[in-house]
Amino acid sequence: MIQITGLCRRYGGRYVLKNIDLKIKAGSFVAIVGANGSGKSTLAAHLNALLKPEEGSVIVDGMDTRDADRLFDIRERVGMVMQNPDHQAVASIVEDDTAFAPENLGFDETETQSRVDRALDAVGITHLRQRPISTLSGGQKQLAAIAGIFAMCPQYMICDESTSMLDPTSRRRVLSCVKQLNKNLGLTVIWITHYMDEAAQADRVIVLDNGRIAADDTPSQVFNNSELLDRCALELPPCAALAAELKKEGININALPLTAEECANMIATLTEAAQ
Amino acid sequence: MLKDINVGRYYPASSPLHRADARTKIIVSVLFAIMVFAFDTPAAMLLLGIFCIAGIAIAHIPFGYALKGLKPLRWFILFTIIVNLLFTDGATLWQWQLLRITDRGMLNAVITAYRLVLFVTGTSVLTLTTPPIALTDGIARLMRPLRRIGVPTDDIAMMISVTLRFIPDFADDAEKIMKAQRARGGSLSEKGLIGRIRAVIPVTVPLFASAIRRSGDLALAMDSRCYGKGTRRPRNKSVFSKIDATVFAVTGALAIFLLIFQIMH
Repeated sequence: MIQITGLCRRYGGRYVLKNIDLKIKAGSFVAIVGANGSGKSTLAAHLNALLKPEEGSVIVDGMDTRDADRLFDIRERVGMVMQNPDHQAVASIVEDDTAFAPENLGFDETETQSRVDRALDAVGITHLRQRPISTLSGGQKQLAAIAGIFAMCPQYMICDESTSMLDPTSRRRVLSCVKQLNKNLGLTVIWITHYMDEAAQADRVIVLDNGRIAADDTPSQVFNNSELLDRCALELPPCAALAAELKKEGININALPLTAEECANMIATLTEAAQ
Repeated sequence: MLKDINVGRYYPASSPLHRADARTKIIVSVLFAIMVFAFDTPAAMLLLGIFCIAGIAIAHIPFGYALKGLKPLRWFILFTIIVNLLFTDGATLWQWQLLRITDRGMLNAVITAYRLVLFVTGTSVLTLTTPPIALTDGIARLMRPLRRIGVPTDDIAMMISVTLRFIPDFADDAEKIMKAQRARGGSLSEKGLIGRIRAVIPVTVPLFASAIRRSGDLALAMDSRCYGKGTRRPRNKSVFSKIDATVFAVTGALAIFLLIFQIMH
């Protein structure tokens, strides 16, 4: 579990994170949303000790991120995939890049190779292992970055707007891959995004507003709170936006659908009721 | 034009040179660079040219691709030709007012241009046939004795490797920025020194900003993947094979032959 207590951070005298209290349970899929400058990436950087708390604490599976002796244990446990797929690769070949973290951790060649094979297989890019990273598409590069993190066998994976520079198909593919890792292998995912349809697929949505937690609830509760969404400058996921428009037209809809499946069910129910 | 830079680009292929140990290729590249600038007889130049062409052919690198790296340097090569042509003493072949071309000037211009072509093309074979991680490993292992006097050899090797790895990316960034400036009516070919400086600033400032952002992101990505833990054990610890022995034997023989030849002439 990651436990954050009273976390504060200032840049130039201004608080970018203020009194953050949060618990992230192992195995969960947590989305963090918020407008630009709300503190999402700063919060993420505290989770794997890239930043140390100025006030408060971040405890990862019992390890304090301020404890310099546990720095690499924490980073091994909490991996981070960043936004730009072109800025993360250290090596030029997919397999070499995937091996970078296990090599840094000092595993012998057999263990490193086994982790590389497992990571490439889990992410579904084994066929790309000998390809130069520069020849991959944006989505493939991001999958290679995920494999590079997954090769550390982390308990937690932070994806900091990892789909924001991708086309829709690649976006779906990357999200689907991460969901599979969460569902099948129990990887805890902390998914930072501006796309509400992605956040709607999480178990839990945390809304940040000016460095504070404005909401921490299920996607359904968050996206049915129009006052919260307005205040935090967030939009509804497309399916919910459609239902909200229908609601304005006087159609009786109790809860906004968040996924295409829920939306289809809602339309089917409305059609049946009309007949 | 900048996208043609070959330095730092890896060309994946299955060739004997790709399989050779990175240390072998680094040592041979350094030796090759020394030979190119140390020996100046026509026979030596010819042999070094054949050596370079043979290296490209054995590495299964298309000649067009290997020579592409020269394109960004064409103005520099032209400049050295002109300087050598006009400012070298010797028997006059042509003269117009202060401008004078001599026989030695002609020879120097050809040799200097040829040396630059050989140097760039020959040494780019190293990065074209060696993945950056293998290059890092090779540099680190060659520098290992310096560890005893406290030199952080692994970090230096990683810095060299990352620098080489990012040269093509920076070239791509520069290309994009130049296109973006042109699309907004910016001219990159102003006349006069001040004009040229003024034209370059809109490219260099965003290029620096992009380089800083890129290196910041890479540093975070490396930190996130536990770089600096101090326990790094690179895979594929390549061992000297018959290929390496052959490469050393051929290069060594060439170096000794050229040295004797140079002394005799």
